[in-house]
Amino acid sequence: MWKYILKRLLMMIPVLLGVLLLVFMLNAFSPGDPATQLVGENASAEAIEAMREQLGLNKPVVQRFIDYAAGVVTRLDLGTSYQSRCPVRDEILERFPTTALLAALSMLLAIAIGLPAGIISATKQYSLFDRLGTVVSMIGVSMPNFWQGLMNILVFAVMLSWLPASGFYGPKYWILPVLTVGTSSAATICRMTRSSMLEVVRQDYIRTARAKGQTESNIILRHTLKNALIPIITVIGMQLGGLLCGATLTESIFAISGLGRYMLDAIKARNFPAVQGSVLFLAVVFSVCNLLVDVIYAFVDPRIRSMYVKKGKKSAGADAGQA
Amino acid sequence: MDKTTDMVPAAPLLRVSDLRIHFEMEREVVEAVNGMSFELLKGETLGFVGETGAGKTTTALGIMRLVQTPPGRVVAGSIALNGEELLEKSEAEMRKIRGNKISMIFQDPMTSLNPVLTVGEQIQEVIRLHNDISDAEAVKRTVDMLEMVGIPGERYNEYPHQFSGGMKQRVVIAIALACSPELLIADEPTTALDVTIQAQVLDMMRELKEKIGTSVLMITHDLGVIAETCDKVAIVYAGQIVESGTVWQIFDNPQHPYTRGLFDSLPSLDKEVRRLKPIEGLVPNPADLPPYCSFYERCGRRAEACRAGEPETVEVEPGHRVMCRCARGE
Repeated sequence: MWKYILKRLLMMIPVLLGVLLLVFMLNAFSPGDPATQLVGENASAEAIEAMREQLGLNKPVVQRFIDYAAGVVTRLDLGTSYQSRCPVRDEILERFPTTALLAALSMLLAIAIGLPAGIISATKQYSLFDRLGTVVSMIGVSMPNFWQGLMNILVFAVMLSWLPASGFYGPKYWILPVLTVGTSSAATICRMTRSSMLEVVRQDYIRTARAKGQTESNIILRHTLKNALIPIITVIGMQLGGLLCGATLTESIFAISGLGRYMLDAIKARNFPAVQGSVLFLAVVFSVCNLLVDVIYAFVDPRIRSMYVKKGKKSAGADAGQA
Repeated sequence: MDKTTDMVPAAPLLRVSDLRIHFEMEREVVEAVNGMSFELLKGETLGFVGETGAGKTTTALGIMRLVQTPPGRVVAGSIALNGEELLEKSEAEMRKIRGNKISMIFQDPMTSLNPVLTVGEQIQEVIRLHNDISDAEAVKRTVDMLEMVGIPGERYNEYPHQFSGGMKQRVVIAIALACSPELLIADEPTTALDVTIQAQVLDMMRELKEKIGTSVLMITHDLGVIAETCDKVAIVYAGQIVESGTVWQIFDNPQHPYTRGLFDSLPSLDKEVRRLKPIEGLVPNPADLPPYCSFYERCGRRAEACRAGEPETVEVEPGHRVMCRCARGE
């Protein structure tokens, strides 16, 4: 198992280098000159040239990429922000906890609502709860986050004045953004739980469990849910990965200083090092999320687990043979 | 008078009378089981033979009270185990019977075990459900069951995907026999296995049956399996028993045209036959059964009188019943 995790971590390196190259190229060849933007449209040609010199933009593209990549690999240096002149790495690490908190709270809410709702919908298929749940979760899935966020602000902050409309300074501030992000994830998790459970309920081994005289609640929790978990975990992992990358629109609407908003501002200002740094950082976060999901699969499903174990055994046998 | 009282046979373990199970869909009603009646004595093995879709499995699930409702519904009839009516039992009472007094082996061992639980856990589950025993005792009995079906006890912690098809079916049988049931329903237990494993599994079932003293309802479409394992046979067609009797009566003296057709469609070692004789036509649509003999359309001996109504069941020799007009010698 550990061997597998190590292998997966090593496999992340080429992926990240690829991401690095892609983002760098995208920025290097995109129209618009950051230097002009910084000194202003009306500045003299000399001033712009001086700024280009200062930012290192007058060097050839290949040279710039090699310098940048070397900095990332050797010093974990993501460059300096054009605007604040601070290291991009520090700026990202400063904002990530906020994004991570929003993501974690939203995910907890989403699982707390989505999983039980999906299980009940599946066990009482075509009941009133199921039909109602289907309608509500369809609305939840199709409602855009930014619109839901605006509506939440309108109702709870403006009309009722119960909660603050912006910022992320304490539990009271967390409620609206978490509600906005969490409910739409809950809808997705609910849909997936329902369909996955319904798939498993039809299996022969569920009938075997009934034939043993097992109670319905045990059949649902012990026999059905455990088998239905794989697709649910996949969805939760993808949602979490997405949320950790910053709920860009939600962060903008609620004026939360998180990673999503940082990236959005950086793109608008052609702050290339900040864009590259955030994308690279998000690629790492997403890859780790994926790895985590794969490891959880192995804990849930013995068939996947034995695939890893067998691999380990085989290579151990090969090593012994060579010795 | 005295003679008859002396000869009174033991009360049957299972008595099914006039059982009718329908599946009520939106547009049509599928009549899967139509007036099935049979008895099963203690320690006896009854074979249920018939084509796919004849209603054999539905009858079995009906006895377990596991017919999916809706759309399935037991419309009429009675199922009595040791004289107790199962159709009147509550769901909680049925749970105490399932896996304990009546248990069932399903057709496909590949899919009837839960892939995320160890085989030990799955056998232990049924033991603990029906016996109030300590953890250690439950584990010990599970290991005993595994070894009884010929699987080393060390494999307790392995998962179903680590077993072959034949081994899986042994585990399924261990689950079914773990609580020494009075009635075992085996729904085509060997169909999904290859021939050499089939023989092993059948032998093992027969041994275990003798050890535990269980009665068996053996569902199959394989007459060879019937000849090898059963005491009595019931030939099922379109949800009805068209002929029943001891294995000897049915094999030596088949009376119903359908039973004869079944034997004609088997290859024989005695006679040199170039071509097997299939039964012409198809099983009638269970959603649209005729009000007369359901075999009429395919029958080689049909006559106008057959369309007059449901054929009566005639006892041609003691214990040998045939549901056909011809059996009365008409």
